[in-house]
Amino acid sequence: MRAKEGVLDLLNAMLTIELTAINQYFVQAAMFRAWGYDRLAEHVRALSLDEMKDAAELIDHILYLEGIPNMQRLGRVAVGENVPECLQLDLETEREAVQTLVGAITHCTQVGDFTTRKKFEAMIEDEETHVDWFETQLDTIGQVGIENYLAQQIH
Amino acid sequence: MYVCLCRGVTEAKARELGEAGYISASSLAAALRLNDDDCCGRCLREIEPLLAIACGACPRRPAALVRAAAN
Repeated sequence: MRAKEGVLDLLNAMLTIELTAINQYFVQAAMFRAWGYDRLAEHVRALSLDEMKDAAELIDHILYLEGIPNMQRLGRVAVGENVPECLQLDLETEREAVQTLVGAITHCTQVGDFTTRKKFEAMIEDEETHVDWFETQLDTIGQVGIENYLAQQIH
Repeated sequence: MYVCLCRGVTEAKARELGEAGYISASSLAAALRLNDDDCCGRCLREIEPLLAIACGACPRRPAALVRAAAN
């Protein structure tokens, strides 16, 4: 099926964000595990796999609309030197994803592509829960202190 | 954070380079070998954040001057 004006570009823009996030969370999860924070590592690794499922869906849909999924383009993989820095960078990544999706959903409505809009809407729901999770972690660190927070991530 | 993952450059390393006088895009690129094939090239295309950190740390170049140059 042929895509409506601008829809393929938006799908590919979102794919870039997902591919970047997959790498970012995957390497951070490995770093957290190497530092001994297994519990945190497990959660961040699961986020990476979540993003991979989103990427798979985007790739399928781009092909369905007779486009080429751009697997070449990658955003800046933001990696911190410690846990709070990583979490802060991840929060910014997720907020960017939500913002892109808001624009994409609005565009799909304008051009009348309700199938793609539905897919984006499912994604924004996921990304918003991710934003919430990172906000919660940073708030918790603010409340209990970084040492107490990290102590809970060891086992 | 890591300003460049290909070379594993941290903000601290960028400041260190700034202190040593690497405060131009070309000298930073040469010092970190950002032109080499095994580097993705993103930092070279978007060198401003790296340059800003290095310039901010350079003793010969006060921060106010750096900000003025950026505007």
